[in-house]
Amino acid sequence: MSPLEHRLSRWLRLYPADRREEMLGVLLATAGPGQERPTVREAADLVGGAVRIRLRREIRSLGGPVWRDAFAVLALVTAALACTALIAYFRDETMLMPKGFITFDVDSGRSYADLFPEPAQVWTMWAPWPLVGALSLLRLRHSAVGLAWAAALSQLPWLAVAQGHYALQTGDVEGNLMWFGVAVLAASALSLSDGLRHALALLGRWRGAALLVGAAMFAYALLGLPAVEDSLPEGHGVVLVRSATISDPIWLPAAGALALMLVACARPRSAYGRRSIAVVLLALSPLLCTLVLWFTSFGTLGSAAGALLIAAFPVLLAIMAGAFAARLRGRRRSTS
Amino acid sequence: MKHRPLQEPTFLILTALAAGPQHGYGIIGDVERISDGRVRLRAGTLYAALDRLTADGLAEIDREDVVEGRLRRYYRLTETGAARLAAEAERLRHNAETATARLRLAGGSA
Repeated sequence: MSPLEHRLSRWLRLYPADRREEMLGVLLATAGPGQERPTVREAADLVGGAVRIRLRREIRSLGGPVWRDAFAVLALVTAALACTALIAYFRDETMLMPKGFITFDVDSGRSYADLFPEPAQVWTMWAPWPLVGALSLLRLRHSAVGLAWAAALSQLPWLAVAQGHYALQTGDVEGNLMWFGVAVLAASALSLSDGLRHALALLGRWRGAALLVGAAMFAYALLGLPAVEDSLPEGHGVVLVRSATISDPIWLPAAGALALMLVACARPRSAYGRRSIAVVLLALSPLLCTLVLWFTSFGTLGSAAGALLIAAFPVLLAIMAGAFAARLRGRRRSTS
Repeated sequence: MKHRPLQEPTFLILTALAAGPQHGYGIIGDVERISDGRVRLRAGTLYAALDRLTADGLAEIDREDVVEGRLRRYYRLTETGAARLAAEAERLRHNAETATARLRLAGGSA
């Protein structure tokens, strides 16, 4: 194999396998005499062509079974998250205070209680989700989808009644948007997949169990973490001022829970598994972002998570809208 | 059904295939001849276009050969592709005639 052929073969790995061999022949035939490597323009053209082919094929496959399975996994993760939000109803910030103290960041004055964009404490918003999960596990697909959409869309009137204009205030709006997004994602993913029973069958016993353990851990982290029994002074009602650091173990249960959920879904060797990783990562990215920023800077906590929220959820919803459109086209073609 | 105008490389690839089935390297050479050397397709652009054309049903694989140990795939125009190319050629002809007539009119009145 000549150096040029070797280098071209590496570039052609960007392309689907069915294109590589024939393209290699054309590239070698069009190469200049003595040429040992593709020029910058040739390399740029190869990258551009690969992106166009991969993207077009991906868009065409959105209505197919691979994405349907990926959406089933996404439905499982987001429905589990929506169920954990019910825990927020029982949330009591004093539970987050070790020995009556609450840890604050020196600069921003924000406490651990602000770590997550938290779900609104309106139990009617979250109560339907365990039922949605149960219906989907019982393969009552249409009932589960209908209830999921009703639960997701009814969040807005519930918020209006419970919080009024406070729902749109900084500090509350991130949490409300984030959890409304999770609910809409769960309803959309349930609509576009064969449901939670199918997702559990795809993942298998151990991965399914790991995912549910991850969700339970996350719920626990959301409810309140155990007190850090270090050198906190005795006393009551004294506010301890302390900066968050990377060695602060307080974020570990939440980060571990999200990581466990992500790893449980990760099956990079299967086509649906790779797509599952992408969609689950997008769905979890605002929460993961807040955790990463926990030990970097409180100041940018809200804005970075908000930016991800603005970017990640619409991308995910656009993918699902594409899948819906592809299915409609497929149905129209089969009836005509 | 109304179609979007074809991009020039796509139009030239379909034109190259209108004469008969051709493989990738043949199409590159033919497109260069048709366009008087103005358009030199690179492999990435050519195969991105061929991938789209075959997916849209405008072109299809005619046959595969192995020449000197390498796969050579021949593509041909489908009936849909021929109709699309004819419609596009007609659109371009109409536009060109209109432009020429207007220019003559402008030249006459000047």
